[in-house]
Amino acid sequence: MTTSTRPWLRAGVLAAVLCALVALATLLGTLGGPRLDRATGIALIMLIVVVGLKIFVGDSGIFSFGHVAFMGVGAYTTAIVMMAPAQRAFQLPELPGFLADLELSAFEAALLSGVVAAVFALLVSLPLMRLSGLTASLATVALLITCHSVLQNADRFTRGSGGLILIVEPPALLTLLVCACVTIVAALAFRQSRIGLRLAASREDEVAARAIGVRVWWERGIAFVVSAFVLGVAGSLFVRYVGSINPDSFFLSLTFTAIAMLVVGGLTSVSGAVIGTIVVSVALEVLRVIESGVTIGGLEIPSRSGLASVGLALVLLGVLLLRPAGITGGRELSELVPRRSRRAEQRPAEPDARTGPPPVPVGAVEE
Amino acid sequence: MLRVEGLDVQYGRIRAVRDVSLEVSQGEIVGLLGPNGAGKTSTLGAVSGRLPVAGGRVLLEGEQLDGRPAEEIVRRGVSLVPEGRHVFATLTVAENLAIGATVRKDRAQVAEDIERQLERFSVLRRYYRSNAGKLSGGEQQQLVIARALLSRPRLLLLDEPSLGLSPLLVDLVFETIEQLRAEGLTILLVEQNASRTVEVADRCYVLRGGELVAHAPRGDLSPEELGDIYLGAGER
Repeated sequence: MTTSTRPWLRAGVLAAVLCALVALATLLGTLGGPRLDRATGIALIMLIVVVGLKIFVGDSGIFSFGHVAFMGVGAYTTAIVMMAPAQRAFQLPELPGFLADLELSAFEAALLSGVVAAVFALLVSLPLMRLSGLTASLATVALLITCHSVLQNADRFTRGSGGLILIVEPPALLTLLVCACVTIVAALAFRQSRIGLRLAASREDEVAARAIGVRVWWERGIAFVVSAFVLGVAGSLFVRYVGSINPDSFFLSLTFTAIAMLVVGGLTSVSGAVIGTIVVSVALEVLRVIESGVTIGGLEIPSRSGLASVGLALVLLGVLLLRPAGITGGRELSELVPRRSRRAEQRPAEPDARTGPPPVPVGAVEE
Repeated sequence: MLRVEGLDVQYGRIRAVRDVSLEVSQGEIVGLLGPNGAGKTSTLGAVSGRLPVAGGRVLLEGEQLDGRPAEEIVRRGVSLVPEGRHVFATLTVAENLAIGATVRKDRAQVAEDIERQLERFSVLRRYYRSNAGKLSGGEQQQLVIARALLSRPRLLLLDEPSLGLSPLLVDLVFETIEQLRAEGLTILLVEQNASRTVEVADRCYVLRGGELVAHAPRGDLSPEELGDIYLGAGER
């Protein structure tokens, strides 16, 4: 097997393992009744959001607080184009004529949502991708706030802060699972691609990356657009699943949750995004149960509003204190499992007191 | 091959390089010597596009390089090995090497070229799947040279490749430079290790205070003369 095919094989195996993990978590999620079914569906959509976010944040090293805006763009696009004409005439009476008569299928709407979000990201990326580090991150905050304001005030298209209601068949859990798995495969393929490699290089060392021909703004721009597409599709699934949206659905709370999931799992790996989403989703669900008041072993915990948010913050703090790089340390599962045995093989043996140091191979001299 | 004419480089109001002109011919190793702050790295920065050219011109086989972004200059065949190694620490050795070749269009040849570099720097084969950040300083230096070579440069710019290495590793670096010359590569070498550089280079330029103070072919600069130039006692 050649040196160039092996990384793709490893990525394929990793994709299979991660998809199996998500399928198992989904299966467990379906064993607890309708309430847990719904939480599982939301968790699968969040998985798409977090893996999509990882495509840009994890590989570019630029923290984006604005990606949820692309999810909002996707959700509103789907709500507008899938709504029954009668509903549309009632909710959005001032919609331009060419939109008033549309009634797309779920697949067409998801695709259109992704494309609209990607085109929007392309326009935003032209100035944004010239920025680096904290400046770029702050610019994404501005993007989030601007989009929120636009969604609140573009009454003609969004019905303002009242939001939109979409009454359609929600996507089945299996559909969401397939979409999540496709996103995982796409994110791993992106990371293995030339663009993904070059982007990761720019994250590690921008000076060195430029010195070997990486057009940093270009690679970042492509990742930004690709991840916006994924979030647009996630937005489309989200609005179909929950049935109603408003500008606050795509603002600080969702941004914080998505970032918490990515940070908890490990920013720079798809495995981290998947594990972080599962861990935080389970923690949130447990906290929500406790928040609504429970009795554990005779101990009554009264209902406390806001407990879930505080609990999530504590989970985040705990992980950051114990594992600052996240549960996976930002590495893929495939790197974590065989690492020890490989290092033992590769690194020269420690000097032995009886036999002295091992012979030093040419070119492998330690300083 | 490379012609630099009246180069000026500025950092704000401070002029780091003044009116420097130099030439590098096909297949030559040309040394650029000078003490700290002489303007050596700034000159390489301007040639490689990392720093803007405030005055003068940089030409590669007649084509103007100044004003072009660094990444385009790499595509035109000029690769820089920056000072301080700059490996991509959390990526594997394999990925570091692969990134070096991503500017190339002849993708079919890449695997073969990676194999050639692994033969040249055998230590890289041993740590091929390890993170580059785990390599020692000398191993990292070999990796960044191999990575730069994988872009198939016509001109290689080496910035202080022996900096911070043990004497044994310095020997290895200079052996590699000799080997690359034998393969026909053109090299512009910035070094503070003047005595080793005058041994390996066909010609040397000496910078001090941002200005060119000497230019001599191999054998014309003795260690004593170099010492004088470094200390500012003599100029040629």
